[in-house]
Amino acid sequence: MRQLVLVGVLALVVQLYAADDQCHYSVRQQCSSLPQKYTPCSALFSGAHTVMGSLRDFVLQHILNSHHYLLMSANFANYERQREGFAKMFKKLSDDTWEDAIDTIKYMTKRGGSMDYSRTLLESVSNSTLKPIALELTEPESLSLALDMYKNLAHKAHEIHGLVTKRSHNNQDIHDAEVISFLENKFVSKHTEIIRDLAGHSNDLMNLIKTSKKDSKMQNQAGLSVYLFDDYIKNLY
Amino acid sequence: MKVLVFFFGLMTCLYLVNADTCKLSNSMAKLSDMVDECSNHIRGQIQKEIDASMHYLLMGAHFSQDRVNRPGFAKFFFHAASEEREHAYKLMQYLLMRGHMKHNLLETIQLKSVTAETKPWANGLEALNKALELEKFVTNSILNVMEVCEKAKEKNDYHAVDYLINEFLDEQYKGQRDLAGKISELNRMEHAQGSLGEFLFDKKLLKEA
Ligand SMILES: [Fe+2]
Repeated sequence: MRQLVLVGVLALVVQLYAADDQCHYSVRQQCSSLPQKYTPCSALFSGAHTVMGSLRDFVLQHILNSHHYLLMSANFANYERQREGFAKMFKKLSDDTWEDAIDTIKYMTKRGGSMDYSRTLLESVSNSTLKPIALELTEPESLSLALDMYKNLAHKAHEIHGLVTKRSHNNQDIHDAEVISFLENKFVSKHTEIIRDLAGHSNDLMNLIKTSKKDSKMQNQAGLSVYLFDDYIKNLY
Repeated sequence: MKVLVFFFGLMTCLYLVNADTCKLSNSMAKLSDMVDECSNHIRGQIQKEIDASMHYLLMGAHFSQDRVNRPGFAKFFFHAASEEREHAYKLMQYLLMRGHMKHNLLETIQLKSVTAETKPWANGLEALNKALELEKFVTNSILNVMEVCEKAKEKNDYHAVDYLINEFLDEQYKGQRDLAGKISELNRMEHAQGSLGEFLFDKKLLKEA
């Protein structure tokens, strides 16, 4: 008996969330009496519905970061800073993040989700995570901030991955192999690469500045180091 | 807890990079002869381009949904969103060239002002009409910036005006023409064929570059 009830509950849950067998039913019903209002079939299945909200946040964070990188790029492109390498790198990070935002939106809609964003959602994202704190940053500061922003994004990707990894929760099927595969292929290794690169740049530059300040009698020696480093970055990105 | 440790990590990473030791001593040339009034208006225009970009992004997302299923419209609007973002970048580049993109950069782009007023569009035709309205709004705003830059008290900025005409107005009018053409075509198709019209038009959009 208990098993039967459980099956009943499960069936209901499936109907509510995944609606795996509803489409055929509704189409059949509506074909037999045309004037009825048509309820659309949904692409939702498996555990994707459990992470749609998180994916929405993820997209918004991407957009915020992308705009932020764009401004950081502008900061280094002005004639006083004159760091073509840094400007180029941040423009590239901005473009990448923007493309990823669009791809994630496409993925959400592929899985039967939607991307409305209300003011509250926007505020919750920009309050809870790294807000742009300042833009008139020095070169090493900008690298360290970008590193933090990428770690933050990577952390989010891992979090969402974790949400759909469990086989079941409260009798609800929340495992979703496809979301896992999307995150792994699109984000996980890419984030790791970028984080490693930025950490390396950050340490390189700090060492260059520290030693050139220590060794030389001239204060401006660090200027040459940063200039050479910028040139190196320019060829890299 | 994990989150807390994580944020603490973030703070320390930023903190470790001490601002003072990394500042380079500088003596700068004075470049800009641009009037603040004009450059501020161009800055304002950057925000408007970003707003338009967000608007189009939402339209793209709307038409991608399974229950809407208009991949052609979605492609068209996603493309428009990226284009608007490029416009914002181009304006930034212009201000950078003129040496007027230095202070209070954060005020240049704010996501908060992005319209929460956008509601789902009933159909493709409504979205295209909305897009045309949006473009007209942007065009008027550019015209206004030009007026300010031309009449700026201290100095007329003909270069800025010329740049806006060649790089922006031209594209605005072409874009508006394209949208208006699409609207009349879709209108006719829907008039003749009903929902088949939008379905066919969508496939046509999908084939466009
Ligand atoms: Fe534009």
